[in-house]
Amino acid sequence: MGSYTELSKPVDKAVKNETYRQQLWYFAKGIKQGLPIAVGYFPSALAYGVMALAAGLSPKQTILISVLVFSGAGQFMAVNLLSGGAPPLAIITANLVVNLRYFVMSASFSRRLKVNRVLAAIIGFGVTDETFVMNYLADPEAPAGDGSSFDESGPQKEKTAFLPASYVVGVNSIAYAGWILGTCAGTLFAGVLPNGFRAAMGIILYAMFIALLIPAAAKTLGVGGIAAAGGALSWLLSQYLPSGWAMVLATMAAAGLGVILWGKGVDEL
Amino acid sequence: MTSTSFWFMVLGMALVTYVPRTLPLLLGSEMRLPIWLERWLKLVPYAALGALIFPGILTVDPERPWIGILGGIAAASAAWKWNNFIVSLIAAFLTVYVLS
Repeated sequence: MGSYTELSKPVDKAVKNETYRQQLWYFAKGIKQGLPIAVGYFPSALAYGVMALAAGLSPKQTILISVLVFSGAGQFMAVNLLSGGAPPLAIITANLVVNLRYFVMSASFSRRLKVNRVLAAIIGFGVTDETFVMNYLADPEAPAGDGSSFDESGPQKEKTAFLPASYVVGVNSIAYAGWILGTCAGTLFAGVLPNGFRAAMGIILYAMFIALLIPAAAKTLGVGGIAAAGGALSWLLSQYLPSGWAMVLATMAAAGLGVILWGKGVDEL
Repeated sequence: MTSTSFWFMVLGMALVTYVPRTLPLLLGSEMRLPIWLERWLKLVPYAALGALIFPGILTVDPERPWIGILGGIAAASAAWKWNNFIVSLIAAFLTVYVLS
């Protein structure tokens, strides 16, 4: 593992010279920045909790999954597949496939982070679609609360400054707290929610996927094409295979098709 | 679900979630992959989203698949117009809640 030696170099001066007070300041700043994520996670996690109980999991099991996994799309998918009677191995494989996007995100995120292995192991746990975007586009030096600390210029702008680790840990922690609290609320209130309310929660998972997809597809038409191919193949394969496996195979095939047809164009994404 | 298969599922899910998140941070920017694999990894999220949305969205109300479709259209329109996660979720939820 030659690449590990790179990490034993002294960390960036600006980051290393952070005093305890500065670290605390950045952590608090991260909490403030991450609060909207937590507020957004709460109802999604609540929906997950309700659906998990409906799929036959106990409240303890439902919360344990949120604590150990912390992945909206993955957990919703697991619960969906579980209520369809899918075996654990199919659920794990389907999770692996949707989680490959984390690999891509963390690979870009690593360009804004210079931390030791312990911190990398802690920060890695909190990488989600939302915390990634918030952290990646963040400017922790900007004053909090006026919106300017969220850089709207997007990822095309060159990001060279390293993020203070305590800031990132702050953003991730509050998001995690929102996810856990929402899950607990879901297991508590599952019984008292009206029936129509519970049925409508089934759409939240798909709305989440759609809200992730649309901005990317609006920016690059090809992205929409890849997703459409994935959907079409997934439908076709689900006629012959259990839905978990159909989804996994369709994803791998549609992405492969994209690489073959699109070639160099993918690099511009 | 037996306790053993539950633990197998949870620990498996935790592992396949944690490793892709953390590995690139541990390897740092030194990580180099073959170009085709990098392209494939880049497209996988979008292909996965498509495959997850369809045909799954038809099962929101299995008796009336069009309810899922309309909820999806509401989410897509809201995401298109406001590009806001929460607004999309609320729009889809309300659409399905009112229809069912």
